[in-house]
Amino acid sequence: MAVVAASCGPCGFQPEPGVKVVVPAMPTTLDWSHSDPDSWANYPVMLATQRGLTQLQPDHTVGPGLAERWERVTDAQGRDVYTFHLRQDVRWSNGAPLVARDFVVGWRRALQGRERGEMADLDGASEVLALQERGASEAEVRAAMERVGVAAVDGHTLRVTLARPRSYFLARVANVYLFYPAPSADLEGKSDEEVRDYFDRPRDGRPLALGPYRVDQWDRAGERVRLVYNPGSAFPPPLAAGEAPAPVITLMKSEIGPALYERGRVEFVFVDSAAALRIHRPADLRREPLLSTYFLAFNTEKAPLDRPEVRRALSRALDREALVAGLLPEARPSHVLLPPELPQAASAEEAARLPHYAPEQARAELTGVTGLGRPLRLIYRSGDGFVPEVAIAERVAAQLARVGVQVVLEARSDFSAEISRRSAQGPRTYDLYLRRLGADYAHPNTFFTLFEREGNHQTGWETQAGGEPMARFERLLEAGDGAPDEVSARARYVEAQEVLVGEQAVIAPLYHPDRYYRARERLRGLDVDPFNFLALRALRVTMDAPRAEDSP
Amino acid sequence: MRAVAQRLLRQVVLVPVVAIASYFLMTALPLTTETDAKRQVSRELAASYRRDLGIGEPLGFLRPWEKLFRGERLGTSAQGITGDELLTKLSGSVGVGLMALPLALTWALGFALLRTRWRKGRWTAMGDVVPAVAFGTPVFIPALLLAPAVVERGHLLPELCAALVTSIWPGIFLGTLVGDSLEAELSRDYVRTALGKGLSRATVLRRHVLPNVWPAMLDAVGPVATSLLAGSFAAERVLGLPYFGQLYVLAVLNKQVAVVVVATTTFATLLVIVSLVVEVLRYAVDPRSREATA
Amino acid sequence: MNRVPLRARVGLALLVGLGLLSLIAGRLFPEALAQTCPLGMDPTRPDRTVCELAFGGLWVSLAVGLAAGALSTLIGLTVAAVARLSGGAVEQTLLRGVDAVFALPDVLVVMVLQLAGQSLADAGQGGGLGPFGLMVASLALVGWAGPARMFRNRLATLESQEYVAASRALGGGGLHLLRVHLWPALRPFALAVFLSRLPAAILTESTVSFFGIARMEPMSLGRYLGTSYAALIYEGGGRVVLPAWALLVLLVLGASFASQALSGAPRRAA
Repeated sequence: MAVVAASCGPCGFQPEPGVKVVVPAMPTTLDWSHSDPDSWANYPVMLATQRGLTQLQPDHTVGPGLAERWERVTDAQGRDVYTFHLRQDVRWSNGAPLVARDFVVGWRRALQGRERGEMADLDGASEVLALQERGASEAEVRAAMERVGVAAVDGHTLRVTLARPRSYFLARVANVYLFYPAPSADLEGKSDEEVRDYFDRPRDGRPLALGPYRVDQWDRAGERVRLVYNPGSAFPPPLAAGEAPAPVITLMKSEIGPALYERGRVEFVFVDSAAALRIHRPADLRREPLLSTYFLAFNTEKAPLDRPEVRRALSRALDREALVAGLLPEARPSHVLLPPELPQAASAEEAARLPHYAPEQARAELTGVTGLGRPLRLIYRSGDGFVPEVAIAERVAAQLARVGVQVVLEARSDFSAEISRRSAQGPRTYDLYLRRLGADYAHPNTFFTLFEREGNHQTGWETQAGGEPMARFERLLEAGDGAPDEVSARARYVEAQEVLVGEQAVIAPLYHPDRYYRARERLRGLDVDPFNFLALRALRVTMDAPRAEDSP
Repeated sequence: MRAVAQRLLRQVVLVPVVAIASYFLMTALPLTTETDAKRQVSRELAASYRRDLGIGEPLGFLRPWEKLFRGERLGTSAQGITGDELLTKLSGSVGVGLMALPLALTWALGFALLRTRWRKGRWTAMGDVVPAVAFGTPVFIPALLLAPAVVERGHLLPELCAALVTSIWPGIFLGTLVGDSLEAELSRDYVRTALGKGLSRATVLRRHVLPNVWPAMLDAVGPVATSLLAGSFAAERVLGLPYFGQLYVLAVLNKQVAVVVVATTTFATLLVIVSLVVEVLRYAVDPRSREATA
Repeated sequence: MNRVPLRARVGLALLVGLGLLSLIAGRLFPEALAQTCPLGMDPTRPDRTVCELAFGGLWVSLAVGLAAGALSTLIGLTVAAVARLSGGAVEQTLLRGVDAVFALPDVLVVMVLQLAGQSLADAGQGGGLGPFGLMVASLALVGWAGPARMFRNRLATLESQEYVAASRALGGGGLHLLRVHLWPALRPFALAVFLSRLPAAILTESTVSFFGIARMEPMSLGRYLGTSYAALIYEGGGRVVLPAWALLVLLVLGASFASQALSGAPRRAA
């Protein structure tokens, strides 16, 4: 009976007041330094609650963020040294000032986190990563960590040393949340487990925030995250007359999001279901073309896909136009990795050199190929996402069947684990997988990091031809990243794409996805950016307009 | 009394059986540690497996419970749960269940009475069609039909709807059982005698027949509670209720095995409690059970 | 077989008819099914019609249900027979085990078993059990407890009959009794129990699919209903969900007609 009585505090489950936003997935973690492979789901919260050293301007150029200015020099060993001068007026949500030490603590944790490969550019980071790879002792890893190129010169001066020049670095620290500072005063002296709980179990105003909102509550079973306004933030939303910040924002997951939006019970909803877009297209539907590419990847370690000519032929067997035809209100089929809107993308002539739909050629190249007798396993993420994956997977299977290649489909909810799973013999067990790659910032580098040696591509292409193509690819990226001017940088990136998509055909790009969503008029500054991030940091509500909500 | 105590004991034994069975099933699962994935390692999940399940330790199967009672978290920091959370979630589900149970009994009685009436007329087939429709309808379908009208409205509306949709099938199921025993009772001599003496049909039903039907109803409460719980999984998900069923489904989806062990056992405990209550009720309302055990 | 009641025949005809139609239409003439479909295309798989997926998947669901039902009836029968044959403490222990399994909701156990089976398969220890086999196995593993209880009770009742007592007095052993006297009397009941497991299996499969845990291939009716439920909340989405639902109800109706008529419900005996 006590249990029953407890359930009736405020009787039953009450709806949250404030702005309700239906998101397609709950965060997988709130620990931004440690992170998680499914980091995309965490971005809306991280971007609303935290800040980076820099900040991207509307035109994709880099502006000041937590750092008001910085200097960049190249030292005697050819390393890139940045000195960031932090803003003096930035405070955590408990009033404590932001200090340079916060970056040191956060970045060191990130180096041991689940996306630590993202930190590889820091001087000394590769040593830390290698030690962890080898399973070295905690003491050894800690010692190596001391040598990593991030140091607090004084309370408000941070020195960052990169192993080599990286032209994208400033753009990257703006958006990639692994580079956000962690509240060192709160964390130091806590065990690893306690720190993880500090982030993932919000309570008593923790974890601290720098952005305009702070996480107040995370109900896992209820699939809701409640954000509250952080009045002390140095980054308040830009308020015009008659506008106010939203005191409470609830990010929630719902099986019936669109229906709730229709009835005025939520303020924002992604229209992700292909079903929704096909059956009924609402008038206030908005579309955001993403800097993103959906592709088919080959397991290059498994015969017959271990031969580049077979992979190229399969890529030529795919009619991208037909793959996406009629699935979405609009679609941008493509056979290139770098979207044409991206600065430094390939020109049309350069793109034409990459494998594209040529059915006759594909059939000719595939005749007599041994090892194609067995059906290939195509893995894709299960669930209803904004990429119509089921339909595309079925069409890929149908198109490949036309050139005599059998494909069996497998939808997996544990997609990342499945594509990295290896058989007892060594190679990974999948043959093909479908996946979307999204830009984290507007730079070709963001499309290539996945396919680097350290990247999470799981295609095994680092083993191809003894590793020579991979080495060449990395040299090209290196040259591009360190190139003195845009023109030569662009040429290197285009060549790198040619190696990856053309010569080695590790992947077959299929199309550049868009995002569809609906939002209420009274919400300002709430939208989706080309990086597919739900942008909450500028959210405010208009005061005068009556709420279009039907009161129960 | 001894026989009753024995019956109760038998029920209680279920809890450790389920606890140990689910524990060993979970620990037998291979850990996919992805040691070779370079950038992203789910060391964390593997570590939480070992930590929470006390694998390889003597009395390791007590580990999840030990952690729970110490107020520590089971599973990963992001997806795991603590004892407090478990209790709050459970209380919500139990609340919904307590609303559903009387509803199910109402459906049962209503359907049983209707069916005895239908049996005499042209509606005989309805006695089969209604249960088939009720059973052939997965809980998520009526839940989805109702959801847009109630989700995010508060005022116990989603809870009531969850109770409503989960109670239909168990109620009808109970109704067919009760209907059978109702019919058997109605054809007995004492009913005819009572009617012959001029008592109204309703009075006969209330005073003579229903007391004889209660035991059959009590027998079925266990399975009904089971299917109420099973239904609550889907109903909670669709109706956006953050309770125990939702917690369980997410624990399975996120492979939080220690949570699965604890939650499965909690389910079994709940069902045992229900059957204990039934035993007590039976003792109170059914004189035959007292005689049998005397 | 003249004594098979009319209702049982109607039920069986419904099951067999639907199953055969679905098999023929889905496997042999998928184009014909696709072209004549009045319900249009499926929203998530725009290259397939609703008819192909729902009606074409009916036989898969039926096959899953039949296989799981048969397996769980068999397990239940074995457990009941062993319990009755051994008697005493063994029987009591077995019955407690049966109660334990019976007390847990189907959906919950199937979810756990699917999780376990998938983890094993991922580690290459699946034992050659595909998603179909895994689904059948997990449904059978949760479904045997009900039949075991029913068989055990029915056996106990039958054993108290006079002819059984007579046979026992004449020196008939347990196995002999079971084979010669009890089994013939138990057979129609076994069939009824088997048929009653069928809808439960299909429904559980559908609910587990709804949670996104099952990986059934090929697409079955249960999984189709469990994965395309979302269409129900969109305008016009009823055409996707309602036909599949109706088919499921028809299957249940057929199975329960046949099952009830065969088991000889007590009301008819009265």
